[in-house]
Amino acid sequence: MSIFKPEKSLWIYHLNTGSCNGCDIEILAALTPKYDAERFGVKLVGSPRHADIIVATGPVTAVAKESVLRVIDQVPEPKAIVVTGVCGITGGVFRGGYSIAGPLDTLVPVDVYVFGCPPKPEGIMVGILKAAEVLELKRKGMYQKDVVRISETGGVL
Amino acid sequence: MSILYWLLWILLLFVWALLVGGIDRKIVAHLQGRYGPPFWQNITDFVKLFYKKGKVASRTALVVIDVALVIGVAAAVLALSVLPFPMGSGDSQLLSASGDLIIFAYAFALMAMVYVLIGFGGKSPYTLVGASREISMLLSYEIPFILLIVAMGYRAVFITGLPVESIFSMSALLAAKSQLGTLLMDPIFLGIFLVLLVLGPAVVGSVPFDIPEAETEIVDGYGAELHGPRLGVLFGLKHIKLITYSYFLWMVFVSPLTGSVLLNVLSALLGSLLVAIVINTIPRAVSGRFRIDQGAKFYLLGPGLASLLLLLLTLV
Ligand code: SF4
Repeated sequence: MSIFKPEKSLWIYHLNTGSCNGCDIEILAALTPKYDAERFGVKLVGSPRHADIIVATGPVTAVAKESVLRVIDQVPEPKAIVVTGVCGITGGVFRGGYSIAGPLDTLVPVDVYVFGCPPKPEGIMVGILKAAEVLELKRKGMYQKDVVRISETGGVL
Repeated sequence: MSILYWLLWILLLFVWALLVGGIDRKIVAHLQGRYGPPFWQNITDFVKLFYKKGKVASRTALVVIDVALVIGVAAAVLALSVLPFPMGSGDSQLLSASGDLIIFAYAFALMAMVYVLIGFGGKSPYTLVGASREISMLLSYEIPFILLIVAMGYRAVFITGLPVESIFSMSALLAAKSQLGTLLMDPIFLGIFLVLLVLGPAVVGSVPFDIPEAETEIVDGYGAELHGPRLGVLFGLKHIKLITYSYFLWMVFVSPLTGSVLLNVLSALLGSLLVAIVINTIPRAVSGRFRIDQGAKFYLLGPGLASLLLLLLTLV
């Protein structure tokens, strides 16, 4: 029954690893009444220990690297990581910069990519829902380690 | 027999508490012009937390947190055991003694102390700030709360003419209720009821007085270091606290007495939902969070003075 299905309750933690703030604004836009993420059970939590899904933005700066790894380590299993924005996926315009230690998938396994600079809230919503599917696979022990790619408007690539 | 019935009743009340939390989220969503989560969302959240497995920070004192959670559950059961529960022949209590009103007030203070203990057990800066804020809130709303409990005890004895030994007992209040129909017919009880409603958000820790668990400033305050099943117990405890307080206000002051079990149970459930909407949902939908000094000042000056006045009125 879907009442007792853990993937119907998605507590997300928003992790900024040094982004330009463009993606962060779009994540907040996805939580506003217009897009109403709460209807899928999404709730923004303050502590990584309460979270199911990490929504990460930014290319992981050298200064932020240690803290980012510790925060991700604090999230209880099963967890899923969604990277939003091109600079979180490849480094984007910051790629190869002297202060960049990322992108994130070179440090920890990532489950969902949402492309765009920044992606639209629709894309972020689809990314979070795909992460819920990943969580379900992880809970059932059928996780295949494939990365799901979402376009900036929410199409699956 | 009666204890079995009572156990079933508190289980039902717990599920109802989670449902009330979901209905609250649904109502707030509709007030903001969105659909919101399904009304059973909080049950899903509660169940989900028991699937999670995480790492515990080395500084965290797990023993303190576990003991605090056990105390919290015990305090909730204690508070519910002295409250009347609906039966065919009207309201009856599982445990009834002279002074059980004081036990009830004590159980509520204990539930707040559980949050403080959890905060100190977490030992992270955020949980410590949460715990110290919880203490400040406790000091500011507990004074009016106790004054009101004392005023209720005096007034009930005055109205029913029962002997002085039954002061501070729930049965005297119930006797006064059956004499008046509902306690709200009496002007002093009406005043006490209104001040208790104003105290509500602070007692149950909802917006605008969820200062100890401000998730945007101090990452959920005292609960920041909890995860998995422990967080689930804390999550349930918060819901139980809200439902117990609303249930207390409804059963003791308002609930009409009928001859049928079904009607009494329905009235208890729907009444507690109504009170929960008034003390939790509406403030949450229309207001933001206060600062701790604003919260403390508000409770000491507003309900504090009002409760002093009500106590003096009951004594003359
Ligand atoms: S992807 Fe673009 S908008 Fe997002 S953080 Fe990077 S540069 Fe900013």
